[in-house]
Amino acid sequence: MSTYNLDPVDAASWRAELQTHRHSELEAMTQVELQTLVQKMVIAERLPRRSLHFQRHGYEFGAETEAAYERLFLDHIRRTDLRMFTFLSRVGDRKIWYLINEESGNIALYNETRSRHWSFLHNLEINRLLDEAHGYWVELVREDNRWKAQPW
Amino acid sequence: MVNKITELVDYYARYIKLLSAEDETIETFGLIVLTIRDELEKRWEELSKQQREQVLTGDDRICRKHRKIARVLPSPHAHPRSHWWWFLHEGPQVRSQALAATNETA
Repeated sequence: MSTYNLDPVDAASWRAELQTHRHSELEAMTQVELQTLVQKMVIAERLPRRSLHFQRHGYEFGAETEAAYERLFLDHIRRTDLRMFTFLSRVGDRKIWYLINEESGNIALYNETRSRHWSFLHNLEINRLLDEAHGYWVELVREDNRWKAQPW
Repeated sequence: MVNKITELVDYYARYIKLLSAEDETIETFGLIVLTIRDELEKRWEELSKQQREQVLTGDDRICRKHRKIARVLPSPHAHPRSHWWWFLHEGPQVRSQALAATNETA
């Protein structure tokens, strides 16, 4: 079905369905599986297609070299205060994750479907982006030593 | 120190260019363009003449790329029709329609 001609009410309901679907996918995962996935996202040692992403986003961080940009990316994913959001991408039904530092607006994108990091960028209006994502994304939070998925 | 408004104008232009990307990030870029455009509208009075022209040039471009932007639309959230960029899935004419409506009420 084409989703491009939906009216806003249908769009909200379609996104809510995707959110419910994504939420149940995470709920179906064991704690060990969730932990393994999180570990994969935070212990990466490189940013795939570094050159491309540096060309696109290096300036946003004031990074002068690809290596400096990648270093910022690695420092970012190792932070312990990142918020982790996921959603089903409309393009190719990919499972995408956003690892967000709310304070700085820095975001690492991880493509779970392809098992690799997808980009690293700086968003100037992170709160607006999060507002717009309500009703669509799912947040993975750590509570009482357990991973818990909750609709955003 | 970089003026944030200058940064926003530049950011808007750069992310519009990125809309040509043909991968999963297109949705991210689309949403960023739309939310940044909101912020520019909110701060319109702070923009210099030259910056306004830059934003309007960006607006021309997103109208031309309306099919790309449509990938993140329609928004399930309420946006005023004057923020025509949230309605680009209906076609590029939404911009002139919004402008005409503004002129009628002015």
